[in-house]
Amino acid sequence: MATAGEYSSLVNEAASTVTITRGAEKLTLATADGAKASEAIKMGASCLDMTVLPEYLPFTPFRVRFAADGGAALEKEGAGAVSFNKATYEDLITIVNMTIAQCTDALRIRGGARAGLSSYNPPDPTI
Amino acid sequence: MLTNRLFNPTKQEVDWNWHGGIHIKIKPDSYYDLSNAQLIDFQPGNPGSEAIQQLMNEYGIFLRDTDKTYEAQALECLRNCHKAKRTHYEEATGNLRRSRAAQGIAENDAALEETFRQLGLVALRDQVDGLAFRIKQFEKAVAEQKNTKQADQIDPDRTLLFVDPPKVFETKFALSVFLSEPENAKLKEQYVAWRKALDAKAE
Repeated sequence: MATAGEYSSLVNEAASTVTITRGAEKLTLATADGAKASEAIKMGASCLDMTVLPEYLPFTPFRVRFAADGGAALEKEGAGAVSFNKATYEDLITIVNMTIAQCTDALRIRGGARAGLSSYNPPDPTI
Repeated sequence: MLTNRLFNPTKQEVDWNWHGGIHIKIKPDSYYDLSNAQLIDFQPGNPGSEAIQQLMNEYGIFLRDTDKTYEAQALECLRNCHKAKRTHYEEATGNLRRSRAAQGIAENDAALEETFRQLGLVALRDQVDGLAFRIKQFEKAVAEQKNTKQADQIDPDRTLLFVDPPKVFETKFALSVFLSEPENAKLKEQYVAWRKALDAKAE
């Protein structure tokens, strides 16, 4: 389980999904949708100070729905929703990116040694 | 947006033996521009990017993201680096003390300090202290930024929120060209109505 601010996440490697939770709220998304989710959160957060907003921003398969309290929620039909505001949106982006990176690492989609990692050796800080 | 610029906000030069004899060298308070081939490995979501992030934390470097402030990114990076180096220092000195105690060597602070120096641990301790000092500076800067600005504002003159996904055009003119296309007449109506409401609220 990873955490960032008020958000925590759980990876389901078998299904290639991650579940983000904030209190009672929960949103499950596929790793392939991670970039889209980050983009939606960023755009939603940048709209929050506007005085006139549409009901929601469409980001298929997500929607950013604006709330009367000045916050917003990232939602996906049948997969739940998780709310954010100006103060917490960076944590939500962090947890999405971090968890999806963990999941894809575990899956080794591309496989094989990667540049810079063919011999993982932490640097010796005394040198 | 993630850029290809790798920053080193620490006081130490970074020399990363990257791959195939290529070294990434970054001077203190400086940067290095990654090539396109290298950048792929740093992008979140790629296999191996977590391990690369771990190495970056140990070196104290980060990839510049233009959606965040430099100070916020540098602070996060310095904290991660401080944690990694402090853990290394504490483990190394703890092991040394334990092994000396097991051998029955009488505690002598001066001798122990000399051993630390010979093993490079005094230099490491200086680095940890230096990082702590920088963290304090950056914490102040980030706290001031949080009071003024936390997220970028969208520019309504060149943003269209009614398409999937919403589009941010480079210029107002580019948006007007898009809206003038016959198939976008409905979108134009929505946009004009939204701008009217927005302007009315602003007055």
